[in-house]
Amino acid sequence: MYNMAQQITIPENITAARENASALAGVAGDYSAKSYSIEDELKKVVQEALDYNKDVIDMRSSAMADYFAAPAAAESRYGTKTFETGDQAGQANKNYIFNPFERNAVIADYVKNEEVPFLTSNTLLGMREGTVADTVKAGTNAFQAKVAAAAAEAKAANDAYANLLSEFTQTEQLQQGRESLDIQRTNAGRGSSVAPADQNAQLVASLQSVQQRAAKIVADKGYITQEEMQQLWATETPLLQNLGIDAGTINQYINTTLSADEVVAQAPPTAGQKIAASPIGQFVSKNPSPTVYAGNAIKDFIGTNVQRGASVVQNLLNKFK
Amino acid sequence: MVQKTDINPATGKMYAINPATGNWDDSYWSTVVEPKLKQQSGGSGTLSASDILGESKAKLQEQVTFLKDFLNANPLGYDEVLAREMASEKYKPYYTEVLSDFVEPLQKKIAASTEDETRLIGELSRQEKLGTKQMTRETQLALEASREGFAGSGLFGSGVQRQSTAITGIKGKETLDDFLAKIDVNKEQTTAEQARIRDEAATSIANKQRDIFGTGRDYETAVTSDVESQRGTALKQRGLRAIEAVGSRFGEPLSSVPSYLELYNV
Repeated sequence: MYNMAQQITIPENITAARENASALAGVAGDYSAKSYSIEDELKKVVQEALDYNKDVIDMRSSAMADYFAAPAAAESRYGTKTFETGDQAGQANKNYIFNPFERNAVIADYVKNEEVPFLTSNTLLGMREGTVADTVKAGTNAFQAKVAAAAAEAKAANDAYANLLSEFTQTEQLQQGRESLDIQRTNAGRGSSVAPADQNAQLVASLQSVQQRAAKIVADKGYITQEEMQQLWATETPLLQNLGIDAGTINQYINTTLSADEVVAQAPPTAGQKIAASPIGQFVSKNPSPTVYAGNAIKDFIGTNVQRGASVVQNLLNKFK
Repeated sequence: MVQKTDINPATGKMYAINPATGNWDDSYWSTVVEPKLKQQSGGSGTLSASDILGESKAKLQEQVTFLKDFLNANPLGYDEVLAREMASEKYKPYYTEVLSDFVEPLQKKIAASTEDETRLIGELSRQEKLGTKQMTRETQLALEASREGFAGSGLFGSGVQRQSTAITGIKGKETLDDFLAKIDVNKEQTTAEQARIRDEAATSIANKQRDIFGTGRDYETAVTSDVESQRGTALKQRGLRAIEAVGSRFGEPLSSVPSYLELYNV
């Protein structure tokens, strides 16, 4: 007999997918966490690469000092007629200008000229800072692209893992249902009676199988046809018959459950039109995705009919007692 | 790497069996398994800023060496001695001509004055000589006439005649002295006037020479001003070259010259 408590072994490919998804999620998380500080880090590395602009800043400082000293230096340079000290003491100053107005004009020229290296250094420093800003921006953009790529890769890995797990789960459930059915068939062949609770569980499993397969079709196409729905039920007919439910009841049950227009449709947009006109149109309007809608609709449908199915079975069992 | 992994139901996070202990271990997952898986997955998530910058970093470093090399290879193109020589050659002809235009008329005036003085003094000397002869002769004639008159009246040799002759002689001498004195005064006036004319001209010339070529005056001022202008141009050219070189190589070429680097910034 099938033991529900039996340990299920997860296949290696699913384990590997889980590890990969986890690792990539970690990578994406690391990238995401670092994205807040990457701009500062880039600035630091860029400034280090430029030696913090020491060369230009030194040049600028020196030029600034010369500029500040320029008025006094110019006054001495052009206002001294004869040198009184230094190597040229006693010699006439070739730069001496007698006319005070012209002297002031040349002093102004001198001071203005001393400003040129200072302003040039400023411009060079500004160009450097512009380069820094551009480089940091480009680096930040490149890193953000990495962050996005890592996040996308992590999501893809997680989706792959989820899909594998889902597929495995569904397969496992189907397998369990079939094993249970086999047991029931074996028991029936031996003439042993099946407990009502087990019968009910089998019916639920059967209905869930229909649900899962219907959901798969809806997920693939976006809708499911009445014919496809009937085929799905047909696969469960042996089980239902095995439970003692006759073909007429089954057909009646199928027709009853399939009569709801809101559940099945031939094809979009007919499905959409029907859905819009159906009692769950409110639901449709809130779930514009046909896949989501159809999936939810199937889920509701199955949820309702599992209960209905269970009561049908119960009634049948009561009748047989 | 052989280990078993799963999701820890207590934490909801991954964990793995630590081969050293054989137990499920949260930290073994996070410190050993996950990092290896991350590497296998193509990244650690700890991409460094240097890795991101890649070749850009080398290019940034190149900026520093490039500027240093450029400035070394392009020193300030300015030599004060040479600049002064160039400015001297530029301004000397102009100021020489200005001075010459001023001096030449004055020098002619000085020469003319000397000539005038010589000519006027010569004329006065001639008048002096001529006047002296005439007056001496007139005095002599007056004395002879006086003596003849007294002789005709029989008074020759008398006291009256000697007195009259003496008076005539004295008058003649006084007239001559007066004449000579006037000539002397004229000569002195002429000499003084011409000397003053020449002195004024010479002073004007000296002042002009001083104003133009004196220490710190017009010529030297123009030269010094030009030297400073050349220094400014050299500073601007060097700055402009540096900015253009750096911009062209690492950013964008200059689209316009900054106002402070305009070579003819009036």
